[in-house]
Amino acid sequence: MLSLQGVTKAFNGQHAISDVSFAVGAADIVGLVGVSGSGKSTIARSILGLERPDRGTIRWEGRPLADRAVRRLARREIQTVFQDPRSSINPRWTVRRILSEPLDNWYPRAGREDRAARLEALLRQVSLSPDLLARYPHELSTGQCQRLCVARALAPEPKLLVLDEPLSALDVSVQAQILKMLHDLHRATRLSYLVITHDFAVVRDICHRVVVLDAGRVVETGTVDDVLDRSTNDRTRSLLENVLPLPFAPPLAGRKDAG
Amino acid sequence: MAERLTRNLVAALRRDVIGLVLLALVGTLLALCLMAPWITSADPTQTDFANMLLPPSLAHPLGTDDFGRDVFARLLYGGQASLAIAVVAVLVVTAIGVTVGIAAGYFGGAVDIVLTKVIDVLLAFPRLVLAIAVAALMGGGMVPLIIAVSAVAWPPYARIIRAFTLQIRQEGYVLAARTMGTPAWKVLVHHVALNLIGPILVLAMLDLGNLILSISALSFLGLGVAPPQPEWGAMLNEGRAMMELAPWLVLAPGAAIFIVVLAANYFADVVRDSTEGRPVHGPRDWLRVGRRRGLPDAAAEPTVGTGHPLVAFDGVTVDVTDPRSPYFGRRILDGVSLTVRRGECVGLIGESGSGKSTLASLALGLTRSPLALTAGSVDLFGANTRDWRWDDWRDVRGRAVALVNQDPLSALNPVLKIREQIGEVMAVHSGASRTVIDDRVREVLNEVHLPPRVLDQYPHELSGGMRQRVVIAMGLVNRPSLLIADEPTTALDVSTQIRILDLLRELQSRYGLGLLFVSHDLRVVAQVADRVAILKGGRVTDQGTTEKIFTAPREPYTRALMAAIPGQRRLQDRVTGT
Repeated sequence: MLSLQGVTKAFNGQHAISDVSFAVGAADIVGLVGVSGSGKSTIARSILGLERPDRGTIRWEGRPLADRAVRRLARREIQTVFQDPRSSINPRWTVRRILSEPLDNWYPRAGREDRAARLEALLRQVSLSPDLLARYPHELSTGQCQRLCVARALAPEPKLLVLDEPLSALDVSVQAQILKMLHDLHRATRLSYLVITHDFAVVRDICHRVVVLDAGRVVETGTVDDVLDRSTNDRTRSLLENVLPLPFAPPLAGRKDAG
Repeated sequence: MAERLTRNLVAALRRDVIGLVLLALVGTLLALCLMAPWITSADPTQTDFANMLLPPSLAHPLGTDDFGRDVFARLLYGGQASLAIAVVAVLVVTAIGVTVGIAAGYFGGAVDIVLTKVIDVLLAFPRLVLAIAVAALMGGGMVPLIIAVSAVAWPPYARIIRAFTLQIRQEGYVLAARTMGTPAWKVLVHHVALNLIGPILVLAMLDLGNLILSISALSFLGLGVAPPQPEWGAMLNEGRAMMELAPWLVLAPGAAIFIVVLAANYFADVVRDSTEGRPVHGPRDWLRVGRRRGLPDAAAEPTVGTGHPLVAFDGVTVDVTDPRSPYFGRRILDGVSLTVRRGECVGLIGESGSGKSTLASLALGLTRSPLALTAGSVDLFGANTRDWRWDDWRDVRGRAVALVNQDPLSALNPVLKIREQIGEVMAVHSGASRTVIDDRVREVLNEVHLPPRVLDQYPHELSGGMRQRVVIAMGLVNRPSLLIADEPTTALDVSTQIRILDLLRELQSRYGLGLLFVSHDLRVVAQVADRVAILKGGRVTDQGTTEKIFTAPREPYTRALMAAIPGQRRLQDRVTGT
């Protein structure tokens, strides 16, 4: 669906990303991993059309994103969930208005009942109660805010969700709930995800394939099992070593299905 | 939004006596002006030289002027002109200023350059001279007056609005709206303009007084409201010459302008606060300033080892005690007991809202309205802190007890060099000379493994990990016995996290530092803590050595937290991709 070929972008003469190529297929969950400064955000911004690559092409459904018509299509079919759910929603708006914004953009002719049904369906998809519609963001927990952001991203009925560090602003137990919600959503809708993260643990939990990024270059691409457990690449291995180890193995770790 | 604004406004005014009095005064004034023909039978332009410069009396409530005209009637009729012109001018000015400012700030590039240059040129002219020129070119009268006043008043608005727009443009929700496919004009109106209402209101109200005075100056020069017609500003100018002979000529319009401007400014604040979604709670530090009681010995000499724990929380309960808070009556901490001893690291694990930061703030005496300690005690170095005043705490803070925050960038002052940043913490607590301080700063930088070149750098020149090291150095510079680290690694990369944790552990063993490590991340706490306490809903639900908590958790909540650590298991039934 989405493919990047030799994408290069420089800021002030310094290469933020160079020669990045990878693809995301239908119903695919791809993790894009790297430390800060490795170019993850630049790739995300390029896919979202906020940056124009200096070289290389980004294709959506086989057609180049540089084309205006394709970009308009992609604007609807690729949606984003950002890292900080609190700052990515307007604090002065009610939940209803926040969710209505994408509906206004993409279904301007929807009737009152149609719209109410859509709002409710969106909230149900992310397991939020319709009672929340009249609330303001500061009355919601951070986890609920992140669910709201996902619901907002689902409104235009996208084909690909770009999740930019969707968990790093959240508490551990909330992280687990959001991960489960994303996972259930994927099973129900077959939506593709591009998960951008610095945390290999998140990749292991949800992704099918992984792209490892270091200093703006792709160092390895492969299935999660191959890359995380059997990587032969030195850079990947040193990045993996930076994952905080648990000094004591928790007894509840369900390792039976790992590997 | 309008509905909530009204609700907040009514609620705010109900509590606000000054606001109500001002509202009543302005309301009366406005009503009097509008109903002038029914209130006074006197003609504001009728000259009567037999009765000139009469002092206030029953026939003339505010006296008469040098043409024998009734000042009260002139005040009321003049108010109609003054207020109408001022309000229209404020609306015009705000409209132009906001449009230009938002356009320049949001679109940037060539649009910004052209508009900013225009603003710069207009600002370079003296405001009044330019207004006189414009008004003179267009001839006198009401409409040219409004145009002249507005033409020179909008550039400062545009400047300020542009700066605010630049800031809002960076907000996550504007980015989100753009990627969502919201058209630019909608982003501008719905996200940018609506969030600017607060500053716009304040600006407009502040300028109302200026505008009334500009209008009066132009009227005085014969370029505005023509002389026999009354107008507040013009009345002020006419009365100036008779100030000693007939002070009422100046006092009447002066008081009217004063009341209107004062009320407008006051309302701007009330309305601005009402547009905020959340309650505005200013910290009331001044309530806590008290005379020093004299420090307990242990705190005065924190480095002298005693058998006491460094900090002991005993049955600590914190409630929201301010009835004005929407969370009034809520219990934040409920009977929490916890101690940190010398050379020990205690991990405090809890999710957001569990009260862990409140507990940390207790050890620094930073609990403030609307929160208050309602039961239990906090002992520092063996001394009960119940009766400590602000100055007692100030002696301890940053000296015996230091805090390392979550976000190293916001903890550092962007305009201070690292040398000054760290030196300041030492200077406020000791009278040491500059060379002594400088030596100690170098020493402490070495302790946190930063090269000496950092001394003359600014925070923005450093990486996140280096900044956090600087913040730790600021904590260590006075050789504290207790370091409170509130999510010190949350804002950092994983590899940087590990290095900061190693550093904290090293400092702890080398200097016998007590460490209270607050975090929601179990993986991080497992790296450093000797003992772990788990906080949920304000209560300690589980406490024990790190090994015990992680290998044999008994409490169901602890087990749930362990199970939630990512990366241990795959989610079931994976759909295999390509």
